[in-house]
Order: sequence, then structure tokens, then C-alpha cells
Amino acid sequence: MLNRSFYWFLGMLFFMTAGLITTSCNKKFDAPPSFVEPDIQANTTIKQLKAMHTMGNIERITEDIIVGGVVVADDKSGNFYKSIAIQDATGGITVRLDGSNLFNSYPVGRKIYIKMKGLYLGDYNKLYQIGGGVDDSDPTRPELAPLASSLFDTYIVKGSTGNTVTPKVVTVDQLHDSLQSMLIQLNGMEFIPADTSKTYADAAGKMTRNLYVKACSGNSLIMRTSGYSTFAGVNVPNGNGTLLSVYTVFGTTKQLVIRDTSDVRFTGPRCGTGPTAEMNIADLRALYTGAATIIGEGKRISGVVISDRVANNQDDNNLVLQQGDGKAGIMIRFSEPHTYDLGDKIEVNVSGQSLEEFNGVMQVNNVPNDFAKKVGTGTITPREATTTEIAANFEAWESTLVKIKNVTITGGTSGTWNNSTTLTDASGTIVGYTRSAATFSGTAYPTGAVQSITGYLSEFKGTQQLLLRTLADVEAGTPPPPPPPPTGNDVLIFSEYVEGSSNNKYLEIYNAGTGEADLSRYTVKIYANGGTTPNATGGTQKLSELTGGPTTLAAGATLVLKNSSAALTLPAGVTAYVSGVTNFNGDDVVELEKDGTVVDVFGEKGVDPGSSWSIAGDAAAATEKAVRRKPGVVTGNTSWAASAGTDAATSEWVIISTQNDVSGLGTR
Amino acid sequence: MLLLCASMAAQAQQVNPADTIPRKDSALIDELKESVLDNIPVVSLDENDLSDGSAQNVSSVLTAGRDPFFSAASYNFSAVRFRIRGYDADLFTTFMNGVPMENLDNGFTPWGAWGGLNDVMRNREVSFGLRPSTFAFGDIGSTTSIDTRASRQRAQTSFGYALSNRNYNHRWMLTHSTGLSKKGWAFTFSGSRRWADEGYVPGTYYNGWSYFAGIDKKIGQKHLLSLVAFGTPTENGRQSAATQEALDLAGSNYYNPSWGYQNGEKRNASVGRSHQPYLILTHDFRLNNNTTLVTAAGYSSGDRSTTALDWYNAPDPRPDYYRNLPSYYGADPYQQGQIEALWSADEGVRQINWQRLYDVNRASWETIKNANGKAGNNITGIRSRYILEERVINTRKTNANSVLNTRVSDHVDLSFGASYQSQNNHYYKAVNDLLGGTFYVDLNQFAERDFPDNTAANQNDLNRQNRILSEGDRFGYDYNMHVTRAAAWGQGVFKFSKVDLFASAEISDTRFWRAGNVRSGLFPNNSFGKSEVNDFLNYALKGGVTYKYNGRNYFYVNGAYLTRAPFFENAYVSPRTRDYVQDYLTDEVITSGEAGYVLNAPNLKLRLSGYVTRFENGLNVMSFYHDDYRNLVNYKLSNIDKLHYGGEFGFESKLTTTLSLTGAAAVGRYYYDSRQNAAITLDNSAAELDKDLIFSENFRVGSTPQEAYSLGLSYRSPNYWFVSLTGNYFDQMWLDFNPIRRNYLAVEGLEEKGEQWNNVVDQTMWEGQATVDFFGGYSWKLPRRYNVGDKPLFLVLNAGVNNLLNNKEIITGGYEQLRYDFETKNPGKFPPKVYYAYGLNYFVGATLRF
Repeated sequence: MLNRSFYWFLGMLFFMTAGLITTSCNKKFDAPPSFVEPDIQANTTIKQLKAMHTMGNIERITEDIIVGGVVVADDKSGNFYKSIAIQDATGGITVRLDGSNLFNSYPVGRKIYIKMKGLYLGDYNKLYQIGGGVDDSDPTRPELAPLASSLFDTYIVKGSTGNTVTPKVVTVDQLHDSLQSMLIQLNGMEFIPADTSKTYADAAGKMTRNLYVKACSGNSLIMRTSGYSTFAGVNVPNGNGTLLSVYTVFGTTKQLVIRDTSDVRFTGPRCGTGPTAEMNIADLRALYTGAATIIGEGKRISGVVISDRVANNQDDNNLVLQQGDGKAGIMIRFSEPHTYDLGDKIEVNVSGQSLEEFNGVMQVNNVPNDFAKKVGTGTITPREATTTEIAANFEAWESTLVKIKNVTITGGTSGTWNNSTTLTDASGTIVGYTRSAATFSGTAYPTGAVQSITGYLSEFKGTQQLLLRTLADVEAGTPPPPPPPPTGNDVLIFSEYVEGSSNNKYLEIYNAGTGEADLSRYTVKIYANGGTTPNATGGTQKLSELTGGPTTLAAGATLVLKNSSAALTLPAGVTAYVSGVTNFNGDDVVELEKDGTVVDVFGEKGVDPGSSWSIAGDAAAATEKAVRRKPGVVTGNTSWAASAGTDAATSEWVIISTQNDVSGLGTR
Repeated sequence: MLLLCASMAAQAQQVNPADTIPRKDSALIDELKESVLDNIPVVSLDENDLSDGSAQNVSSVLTAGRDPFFSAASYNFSAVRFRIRGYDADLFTTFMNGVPMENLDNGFTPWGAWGGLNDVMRNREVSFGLRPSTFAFGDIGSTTSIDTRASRQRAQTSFGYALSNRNYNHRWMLTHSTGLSKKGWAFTFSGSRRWADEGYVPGTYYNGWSYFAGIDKKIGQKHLLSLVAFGTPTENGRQSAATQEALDLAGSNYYNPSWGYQNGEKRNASVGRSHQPYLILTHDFRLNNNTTLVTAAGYSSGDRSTTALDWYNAPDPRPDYYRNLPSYYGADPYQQGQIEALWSADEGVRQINWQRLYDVNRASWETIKNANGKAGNNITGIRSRYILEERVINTRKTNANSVLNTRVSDHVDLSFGASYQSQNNHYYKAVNDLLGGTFYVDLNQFAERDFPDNTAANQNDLNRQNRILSEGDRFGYDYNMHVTRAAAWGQGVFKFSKVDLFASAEISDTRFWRAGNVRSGLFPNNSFGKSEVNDFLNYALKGGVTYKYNGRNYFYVNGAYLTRAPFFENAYVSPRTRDYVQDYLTDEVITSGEAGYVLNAPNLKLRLSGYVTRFENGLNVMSFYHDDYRNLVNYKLSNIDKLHYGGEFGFESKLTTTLSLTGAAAVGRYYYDSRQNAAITLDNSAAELDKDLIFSENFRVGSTPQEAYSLGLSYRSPNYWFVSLTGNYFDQMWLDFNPIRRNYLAVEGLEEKGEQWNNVVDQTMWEGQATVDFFGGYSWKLPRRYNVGDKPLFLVLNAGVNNLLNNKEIITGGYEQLRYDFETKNPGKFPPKVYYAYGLNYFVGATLRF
């Protein structure tokens, strides 16, 4: 007979055990082991693998091929989708994987090995890819299919993580199919101005966007970003700097794909915006290595334009710049047509620009137009030389002005300057070249010897050439006719007109005659807005009655009038006198009278041109600008139409587009 | 009626005087059969239903008594999840010691809360259908009262062990009851453990404990005070439903995608844990011979939870994710073939790859900026991409109930009752395991994806932004749901010589509200703090007539009309993120009628009945991950009408003194009876994406056979053993339909009534299935020398073998995925996920009892 207490004991034991186990039963699972490097070796390089592919085909790999590579792009930011890029020392390739958030298993820096047997090689419009199969949903157009997620571990062996891949540093021109799917680095890149205010992609519309990046010179390149990427809505940086990316192609189009925004290290100043130091053009030319050479950052050159834009004997995008008398020169090729005139003194930022030879002429190529600015005017005195001396010093003298004396001209087209002429002096010959687009190309050249010919030196595929700027460069064999006899000893003309900002208005009068002028005989009148009577207030100025002004003006001297509120700093030693006749706005008429007879005009009395007189074809020439009488003009002209002319050649005036340029006042 | 009542009372006491097996073992068969039911894992039909934290929830029909029909429905039909009259579980209610036990959140009875305590749960009183009960107004399915008071337990000690191959393998159970002592005390203790290292389904496991203690004190002749406390701390690895494609590839209908090997051991990602202890105090006051007043109060507090994988910007770790399956690669037969071969050959591919999850986490070195809401506070470390999260529901229930029963005269019984129930559910997620990482961050990756430029939107809690999480920390959603219900009811039963009448009425007030504990970045003004209170006043009426032709033949007709407040889980659109409710929160209206015939002859018991029930204005909310929106989508369904009608037949016939034949048949038709209205919103956005009319009329109510038949033969030997063999047949088993496939957009452009159109629209019906079950038992009174004290010792052996034919093709549950490819309109892209009933399964037990 069993004791009842035995059962009680059993019961107690049961409950105690129960309590003990309940409180201690939630044991933690043992954590799986950490990663162990797999025992696997690649037996084929990526380059060798890609060589097995014929573009446009899809090939199944049937041999025991193992390629290894480090992941250089994953899908963490969403810019790569269902694909990663791997590379080894020989090249890179895109691996298409049918899964999302691949970066968890295949992050950038992980080495992976792909057992290719059973996988496919293909290309997406010439971009090499590894896939898992063939999508036959459209049998006429089979496509490489990404590897199914269930099969990742069948074909892909994961290796160590944290491997760094040093990006290959290349230039835009070096991009080539051998770099496909590799991590590359381009230096000195920036977004083109049209793209600087954009986001990487269209985040709202989830649309892919192509942006363009370029170095300071050279061609631009597409950066392609998915609208699904996490940074699609981020504004692109506007600086300049290093760009890391994976190089891809779409057909023949080269495309860069970034992993995320940290690949775009555009933190430096944009091309041409950093501080620059002046360098000699001769030093610049010496940088040339024989191939396109990128000029370092922070460099600028300056000089005087010695090519004539108006006469058009040079491409619209080009100008020839000479640093100074006896100094070196160089051709500047802008990316767009420029506006610099003969005699303009300009500065050109050449930071990061490309120094190249084009048909033998050294040029700074493809310079953004805003890299240059006019800083004044200047003249270059041509170097006098014989053709033999020129030939001997040609490289050093290229793109500088030379003057050859006693030259005979032959060749050309039917006796005109057009195309190549032969310029012969006592020591030899040089080719003179005039392009058909030049304004004077149809003009017959003088027969017989001329006193001199001036021009700048250039080269065309080994041929040394001299290019005329204008016909004025030809000093005819007989002395030029004397200037028309002056009408008196004192000949006053308007020599400069400045209509600057606000009330910065000036008028310069020049005594072109040979004798001293009695200013009490001269009066300047202003007719506003098409009026035929002078302005009631201050509209008539007797030049001898300027406050504090002189009563006479010596031959070759100038008299400067100014608006009472004009505030610009004039060149040293120049005094301007306040006069109401400077109250012009560009469309008012100013006339100079001697003894009551009009001797010179600026504008046509009784006519209101609207906002400005048209001078030399520039409809806004008389407003916010300065206009200067050409030095050759020595008499007044009462025909405004003849004085203004229709272009630079026919006008008596030169237009200075720089606002508030008063550098010419007081001198002629 | 008197006889009927007497018979019901007899059921309640589990006494069958005609039984040849000794009185104290009369419950043998029931006990055995209960063990079958205990083992049926519950299936959630809603992908996001968090309410099934414990696996041992069983269908609410664990209430069978001696009614031959309900007995069959409970025991023989349970393997296929037969639901009486096609009713949802919320139409069956349960009381224990006078306290309502049902959950106010969904109306379900939490059977798991007393699983494994079978020994003390045997005293039951059940009122089926629309019949009156003495303890509550009741639900229209059934109303059960369990009496677990110590003084009602038989004074005995029992100790048993059982072996099974179902969701647990072993069970110990020990129970001791003292009976009422002379001084008026009674004590009961019971405890059990159920466990399996691996259950019937691969990767599942079970570890359940149960404890129960009861104490009664009788004070004078009129008062009985009772206190019981019980709980069932349980942990189990769960099964997930899978598509037929995955099951076929795995070569087993019991393929379970929720586990994987970790260091050579099976680890289940879906672990259910639950421990919700109860305390019930009951005062039974017998005012006089004709009047009793039972007043009871109950309190329960505890957690249930399930774990699941959560991930942040990482691939879906579930092995049977549809993009991992061959069917996703239809356009690429070459890879499809490889995947098929791999799935069939490599278990590692079919199961969770824990190693990969750890590898990914360990490689995830990240810096979190402005961590923990502090500007400039940058924390760097191993940020887990995958974690195991624990979805917790902490429930606190306080219930009080009082019922007065009085016999006014021989002809009139009156009952009155009043109850107050309060439930506070706290829903939150916690980090369970960082899987090799050192922290996780409290961010909403869906919002991050949808609002990439809005740094606030992805915050789960604006009050604590970018919070760094360690194991155990709460994250994601965190809110409380409060529900209260106050009710009063009255009933009169009028008994005459040929006719019995009854009438009952109830009035109730239900209130619920949400209280958010975090301020979501998406809904800063609708997520934190208390929401508006939703208040519903409802009433219910029922009544009936029984005509007593003679002492053996009865005819009855009952009817009911009631309105019900919606459950809050069908009212709140997305309680995880905000306090929005359905546009029109309406009461559901239920009209039901039943009529029947009962025969109670000595050798033949028979019941034949018919019923019609109509449900109107039902509401539902469905949430699921939508592939196109890449977001959780909420469907607000309203105007759900249903019509259920059918017949029930059951009999038990004694062929000889030892041989009896039992049979049951349920033939019903359960229809959705209206075109439902659907409104679609995203979890992440307040905007209503779409309003849809769902063409759901005459779709079938799924997840239960609408026809079930059984026929069984039992032999009871006078020598204290019995065997029985039962055959069952089930038919008209429909898959619950997915509303998004039954609207205009889903078939736009398809040829009407064409093949594809039909494929999209037609509801799936599974093939009819048959099973055979065997039960047997033997009760042996051991020789006198084994007596314990002066009590004889019995050894009770029992065995049950279900599904003797080993039929593994029986689909017991499933759901059409709440996904649909509107582009290809191919419903096969997201095929239904299904569960299969176990094949041959057994339960063998031995119990010592004295």
C-alpha cells in the first residue's frame, strides 16, 4: 500500500521542478560563427571573361570559370538597382542580381567570387553584364535576365569585406571600354553651368536625369542618376573637384554613375573663379608638352588683342593675344564667339585650361568666354623683321605682330588678298593668308612694292604665315595723301563722349588744328529728345565761360566737360568742367558751333532715335558706353549719318563697351 | 421542458447513470477527445492578426455535452475547424465561476488561458443556440459556464502521462482535490506540463506549464466563498502558412517556412509566448430554497506575444517570399528549373538562413546622427539590419458579474443579471534579439521611402527621435485600447404542462477608445494621447416556445433580434499609427431563428433542427503589405451582410447494451449577402486612395466546411473498456475571399466571364475529404493492496488515433493573400496560403487516480 504522503512528495517535486524550469528555460540561442574566408581562387580574370563575349549575343558559360572581384558599386543609395559592379586588376563588369538591398550581402569593398559555370554573359547596349538566365517573354528579343535571388549562394561566394579599391585616375579623353564597370576618378571636374542649379535626378517624378560634368576644358560627359536614388532630390554641388564614379556605356554614349553623393567632391572653386596669378605668355607656351597639356590652377595671362574681330580675318571664337612689345603671344580659342576688339587689353584665366596645337598653332583651347575680361586698351608696336629673321625665330614669334618692309605681293585669288599670297622682301618670302570671310578678302592687293606690311604670325600645318589684321596693315608704296587742309588754325571736334552709369556723363573736345583756339568763338548746344531748340537750362555752353575753365585751347589739347553730378575718377591730371550740355542720355543731340556755324555734331538735330544713337551698327552705342573718335579723324563732320557710319570700318567712332570707362578722357 | 432541463443539468454534472463504466471515469471519452482538441493549432486568417499569441487556442466548440449533434460537431469535426452554423468565434461565450471570460477586443474566449487544466475544467453547463440559460443572456452560438470551484471538484488525486505526436509530445498532469471538509474548506491544486522538442510540424516546439489553485469556504448554509487562481505560461514555436507551390517543392504539406538552422539547431522565428494568469472570486449566496444570488469578480493581467523577423532596408528574409520561388521566374525557364531543383534538394534554401542574417548585421557598421533626439549626438556601431521583434499584447481585464435566479412559482422562473467588464490592451513591439548587431533604430522605413525629404515622417516617436534600441526596448507602435462594457439582463421562463415559454432581454453599453503612447511622425496630431470615446448602446431580445408532445418528443421554436457594437479591431483603421476609425461606426444587427425536434427515448436520442441567421452592417479592417504601394495598406470594409441557414441532425442509438451507433450531419449555406464597401488607405498616409464596391454577394463564408457528416460505432464492454470508430466526411469548404480581387479594377479589360475573368473572381472550394478516427479506453481498478489510504487506485488507459487513413490532403485553413497583381491580373502570382490538417496522429495516455 503506497503512502499518501508519497504522492504529496511527488506533487511537490513536480511543482518545484516546474518552477525551476519555467524561470530558467528562456535560454539564448548560440550566435552563429563569424565570417570565415572561403577557400576559393579565381582562375580567370574579368578581362578574359569579357573577351568570351560577342556584343549583342548572350552566352552561357559551360566551363569551370571562377572570376573574383571587389564590389565597387552596390545598391545602397538606390542609384544602382538590382545590380552591382565588381572589378579586379584587369577590368570590371556589372553583375545583375534579382534582389533589393543587395548591399547587405554584397557591400562595396567585399570581395566576391562568381562561379560562372551555368551563368550567362551578355551586354546591355554594349555594357558587359553577368546574368543568371535569359528572359524569353519576348522570343524575338531575348534579354539577359538577372540572377534569381534563390540562386545567389549557388553561384556567388562571399569573400572578405573592407577591401579598398583605388580608383583609376583618368581624363575624360581616356575613357574607354576597357574601363567599363570600374571605379574611376576624374580630377578637376564640375557640373556645366546649365546644370548647376539642378538636383541629381527628378525625385518627385522618380525620373532618371542626365547631368553633364566637365573639366575646365575639354568635352562634357553624362552623369546619369536614377530618380529612385536616395539622393535624387539633392542639389548638385557647384564647385570643382574630384569625381569618383563607375564608368558605364550606353551604346557609344559614355556615362558615369556615382554610388552616392560622397563620390562628388566638388568643393573647390569652379574653373576660373579662384584667385589667379599672372604668368608670362612665353612661360605658358613653354608648358606645352607636345600633346594636350592641362594648365595648372590659379594662372592667368594678359595682353593686347592683335587680331581684328571686325575685319574677320580670324575665326569668331579666336583671338590673338600679345603680352607686350617684343613679348610672346598666343592664340586664345573661346568656346563661343567673343567680342574683343583690336587693341583691347584683356586678361584670360587659363586655370585648368588645355594648351594644344591646332594645325601647328599653339592655342589655349575651348576657353569659357567668361574666363576673359577687358581691362583697358593698348597698342603693340610691331617688331620690324625680315622674312628670313621671321623664319629663324618663328616659334618664339608665333602670334606676335611683325612688320616687314619693302614687300612685294603676289599670288592670292585673282589679284586679291583672298587665300594665300606670297610676300617677298629682300631676304626671302613668307605666306600671307587671308581667309575668304575677311572683309578685305576681295580687295585687290597693291601691285609693286609696298613700304611695309604688318600682321601677326601663324602656322598652318607647317606653313608659316602672316595674317593681316586690316588693310591698314599695308603701308602703300607711295606716301599717303596729306590730310585735308585744316579750315583754320584751330579745329575743334568732339573727340570722346561718355554716357556712363547714373550722371557720369562726359564730353571731350579736341583741338585738331595747329593753332591755339579762342574758346569764346566756340559754343556747344544740346537738343534733347528730338528738339530743335537748345535746352532752356544750361543747354547752350559758350566754351570760354566754363566755371574755372580756360579761355583758350592749345593745338593737340583737350577740353573735358562733365555733368554736375559726375563722380568718376578721371586719369591723373585731367580736369573736367561742369556744363549743362552734358545732360545727355544717349538720344540727345550735341552740336559744336564756331562763330554760330555748326562745325561738328553728335546726333542729328530734330530726330529722336528712341534710346540711343546707332553708331557703327551698334544700336545702343551712345548709352552706358564711351565712344571715341578714331585718331585719324581730324575735322568735324556735320553729317551725323556719315560720322556714325554703319559698321566699325565706316564709322568715325570706336565704341568702348565697358561702362564708365573714362581712361581715354584728356588724351587723344 | 422539465425533462429537458433535467437532462441539461445532468450534462452539466457529466453524469450518465446508464453508463457501464464506473461513475468516476465517465468522463474518460470526453477527456480523451478534449486532448485531441487541445492539440489543434490555431490558424489566424488575417496576416496581421496579432491576437493569436498562444497556439493552444482551440475552436470555441470545446463545450460539447451529451447532445449527439454538438458532440459530433465538437469532436469529430474539429480537425477541419468546423464552426457551428458557420458562426465566428465571437458568437460563443464562456463564463467561469460566474465571471465572463471572453475578450472584449474580439469576442473570443481565451481557451488557451486554461489549457492543460482539463482535470479541473470538467464541470460545464452549456446552452446551445438561442436556448435560455440561467447565468447569462448568452451569445447566439452557445453559452458555456465552467465551474472550477474547489468544492465542486471530486475529492481525488490523479497523476497522468500522455504521449502524442501532435503539437506536443508529452504531457504530465497532476491534480489533487480535497472535497469540502467538515469545517467548510475545500482545496484544489492542479498542474501540468506539456512539451515537445519538435511537434508534428517541422520546426515547431512546445513548452507549456499550467497551474491552478482553488480554495472554497462555506460560511453557514447560505454562503460559499470561492477563490481560484490559474495560469498557463506557454512558449511555442509556430507554423506559418505557405503557398501550395512551396509545399509541393518542399515535398510536404507541413512545410513550415518559419524556422531555419542556427549552429545546427532548428530555430523558429515565430515564437509565441503567453502567460495571462486569472484570479476569480465568487460569492454564492443561497437566499432561500428558491433564490440564489451569485456575485463574482475576476482579474487578469498578462502578456501574450509572438516574435517575428523585422528588417530595415534589407532583403525580405522569409525563405518563401514570392520572389524567391520558381513561379516568379516564369519568363526564364532556365533559372526557374534551377530554383525548383534547389528548393527540392536543399533544405537550407527553404528555411530561414540565420547565418546570413547574422553576417549582414555584423557587417553593418553605421553612424546614426542626432541619435536619441539629441542634435549632434552621433552614435556609431553595428546597426542590426535584421532583428527578431516581439509583438506584445499586455491585457488587463477586470470583470464583475452578478446573477439572481428565483423560482416565483412552479410555473415561473425569473433571472436577472448585471455585469461590468473592462479591458485594457497594451500593444507594442519590443526588440527580442539583435541577431549579432549592437543596436537597432526606431525608424519607419516605409515612411522613409515615401517621404525622403521629410526628416520627421520616418520617426516612430517624435517625442524620442532616432532612438537607439537595445534588446528589450520598445519600438514601432505603442498604444492602448480600452474597452468597457456594462450590461443588464432579465429573463422569464414559464412552464406549463404542454408548453414552455421564455423571453429574455439585455441592454448594454460598450465604449472603447485608443490611447497612444508614442507620437508618430506621420500623424503627430492623431497618434499620441487619448482618442475620442466611441460609445454604443445596444439591446438584445430573444424568446421561444417548446411544445412537449409527450415526455420523449419535443418541438421548439426560438428567435432572437440583437444589435452589437463593433469590435475595436474592426473600427480602427490603423491603430498602430493613428486613431482614425471607419467612416460610419455602426452596430451590427443580427436576426436569428431556429426550430427543431428532439427525441429522447431510452435507446435513441435524436435532434433535428433548422436555423436562419442574418447579419447586417458588419465591419472589418484588413491590413496587409502591398507590393505596388510598398506600404502597409488598410482596407476598411463596411456593409458586410451575411446569411446563414441550414439544418442540423444528430442521433445516438443503442443497438445493444454494448453497441451504439451515433451519427451527425450539418448541412448549411453561409453566404455573404451584400456588396461590401471598401475604402483603402495607406498606413503612412491619411489620404483615402480609393473607394471600391466589392462584388461579394453570394460569396461563401470560408474557413469552415458547410457540410459535415459523421457516423460512428461504439462498443462498451462491461469489463470497463470501450472502443469506437467514426467516419467523417466534409464538403463545401471554401477559401475566404480577398476583396481586392472582387472589384471592377481587378477585372478591368478582361473578357467578362472568360477564363481569366473567372480565375480572378471565382471563389476557391477545396475538395471534399474523409477521415476515420479511433478511440479506445480501459479503466482498471488495481488490486486492493495498491490502495492509497482507504481509496482504491485506478489505472486509466486511453488512446485516440485520428485520421487513421493518414489523409494529408485536408486543407483546414488558409487565406487568399491580400495581394493582387493589377497589371497582369494573374491571381496565381499571389496564390493562397494554406494549412493542412495532420495526417495520422495519436494520443495515448495513462492516468493513476485515487
